[in-house]
Amino acid sequence: MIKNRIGRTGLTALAIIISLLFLLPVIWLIASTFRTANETFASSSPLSWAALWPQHWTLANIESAVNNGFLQNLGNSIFVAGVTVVVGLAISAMAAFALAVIPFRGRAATFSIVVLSFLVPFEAIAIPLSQSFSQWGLSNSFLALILPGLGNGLAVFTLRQFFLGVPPSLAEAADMDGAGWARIFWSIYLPLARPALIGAGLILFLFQWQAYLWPILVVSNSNLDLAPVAISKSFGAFTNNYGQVFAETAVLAVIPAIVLLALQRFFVTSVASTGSKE
Amino acid sequence: MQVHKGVRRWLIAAAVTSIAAASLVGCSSSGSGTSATALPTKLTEPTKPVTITYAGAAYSAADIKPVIAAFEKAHPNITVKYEADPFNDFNSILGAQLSTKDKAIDVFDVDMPRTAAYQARGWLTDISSVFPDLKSKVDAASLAAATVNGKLVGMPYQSSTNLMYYNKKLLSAAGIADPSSSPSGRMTWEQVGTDAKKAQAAGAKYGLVFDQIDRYYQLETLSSSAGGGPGGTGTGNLTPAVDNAGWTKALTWYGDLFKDGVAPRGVTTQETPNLFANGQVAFFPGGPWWAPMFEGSKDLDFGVAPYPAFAGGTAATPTGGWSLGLSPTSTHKDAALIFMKFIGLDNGGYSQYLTALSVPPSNLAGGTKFYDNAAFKDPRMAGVVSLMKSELKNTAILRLKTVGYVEFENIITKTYDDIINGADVKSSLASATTQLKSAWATYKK
Repeated sequence: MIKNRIGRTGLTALAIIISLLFLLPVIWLIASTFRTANETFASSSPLSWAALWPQHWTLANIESAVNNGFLQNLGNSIFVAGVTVVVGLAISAMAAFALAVIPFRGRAATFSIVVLSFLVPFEAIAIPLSQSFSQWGLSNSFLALILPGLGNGLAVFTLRQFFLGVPPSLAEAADMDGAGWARIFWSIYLPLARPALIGAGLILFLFQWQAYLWPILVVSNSNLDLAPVAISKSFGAFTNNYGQVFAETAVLAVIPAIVLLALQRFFVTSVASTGSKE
Repeated sequence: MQVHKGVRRWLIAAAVTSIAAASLVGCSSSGSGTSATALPTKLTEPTKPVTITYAGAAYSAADIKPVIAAFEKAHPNITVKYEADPFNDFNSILGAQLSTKDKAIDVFDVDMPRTAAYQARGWLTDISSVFPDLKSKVDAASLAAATVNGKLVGMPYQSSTNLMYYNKKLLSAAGIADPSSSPSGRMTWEQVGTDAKKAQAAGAKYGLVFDQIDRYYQLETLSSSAGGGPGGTGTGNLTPAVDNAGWTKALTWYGDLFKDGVAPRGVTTQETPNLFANGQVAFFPGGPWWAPMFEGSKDLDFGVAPYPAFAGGTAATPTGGWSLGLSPTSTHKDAALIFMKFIGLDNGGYSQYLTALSVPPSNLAGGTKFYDNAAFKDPRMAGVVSLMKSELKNTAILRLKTVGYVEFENIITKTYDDIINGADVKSSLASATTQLKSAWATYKK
């Protein structure tokens, strides 16, 4: 018993130490937001505790980021990611439902195409795709930024796998009660799929939140710049402003962290509570 | 989509290279890199409002603002839309944008060594007929960089030079006398290396750190000073010449700096100025544009000296900068050319309106204001103006002029990185030669 307790305490301590190690870069990033770039570089090598705690606090980096219009860029990123998540989830969930539940000819082939679509790195098709967007007159618009993020094969795949795990008897029972496919999707599958929807939503969110190559290719109007592009523009040929970059990167990293922390309890929710006794 | 960062970078590079290659194949069949559209021989001011789009990376939107404002004031019917691209990715993005024949871009920044490559891809316009007499107006190196096969294909507007900053406190701690700021007192790289080690032993964190730690712009000067040449020779400079005694000597010396810990591994070009600014580096060969940053570090006592050369070798300093290119697909060529003339020629050029300190303009008359900048009046920068003028006149060397420059720069940068990380110099240069031969084969057909 005592041996068990000691073992458990030891493991907990180990877990805490490892989590702290993972936190170090984040603390360093946040600390660097509140000190000059010179201080950051001076304290980072050799690594010392000073790297994690500013010696001379300053808000100059945040001021510089705000004065540079970073809030607008951040707003653009939030808008693009938000619309992508909402519209993308609707599309992906319907596609996944069709691929998992509705029997139709060519379903396996369609599914193979969906799987292939997310195995091809987006970067590989970004340039030809941007040329098409340019020809269609879609460049320099929010639509151009959002569209490629909507049909996400990985999100469809994740949701389909989840829908396959829902006992078919639920749909059969609804069918016998006279529900159509739309009703079965809306009233049975969607409410059950909340954890999977959150997972798929995160895939869609991160795709847009990290987007860099695509926004550069289709947007040249700086008012539409997304946050990662704005950050990279802080490095000119003859200037650099690391302090501002640290501040902007910290904000960019903290937002998805908050989203993840807020939604994490849903990830552990499982399908165990579906009401079926199979 | 989650792709590993390194993999992602390769994919981006591969995608961009393939599109560039495809567009090259596309235009090589036409045989000419320039537009068939006739250019106006006399520039006429538009009578109706016109907007031209200028894609650039040399300056941020904020820095270039006063220049554009001055232009729009002088030419009320022309509005300039400035699209700033991230500097680090500019060459790739521009390649992708121009190869789409994007009519949106009228004028764009051209990184000087890429002029021939852009010309071959059909992205530049021959503007010789509009500006026949630039020789008396811009410096010779800039003009040469903007000219391909006798044709002027860009408006050179900005040149550059380098010097060597040193940290007085770190040198005096090691008992090393301050170097002279006069070109006649130029140090040798060998001596700088020895002194750097001494300074390190006396407390400097790093002895010698190059500003552009793995870029050909700055490191070409080492192999040139050692007699190795720019890296290409023969017709069109398309025969690799990096596997020679000069390159081997220069890069062995450079690689040893990292092996001995005199220079740090794992540091990127963007980080090096901060290392000098916070007092960790004894010698820092770099650009004059860092002066305001260094002067801003109040505790930093530094001086400037001429860019060193190898013992027995020739003095070589980096130069070259940016030109403005006119897109053959531009539908507002008149207005675009008026803008190019304003930036490069009118009243001494763009630098008259630029408030941020940068680099010497190509315009010969426009240099006065640049050299008069407050940053050069700081006592720590004593002697810098006459030094820069002398270097630009006597020791400046351009980067390799070849249609295969894009591939050359990629391969050489990787070679520098390998050597920095400890790879054998001879085999790295042999490997670079093989890669260059294969990459340049396309242009030799």
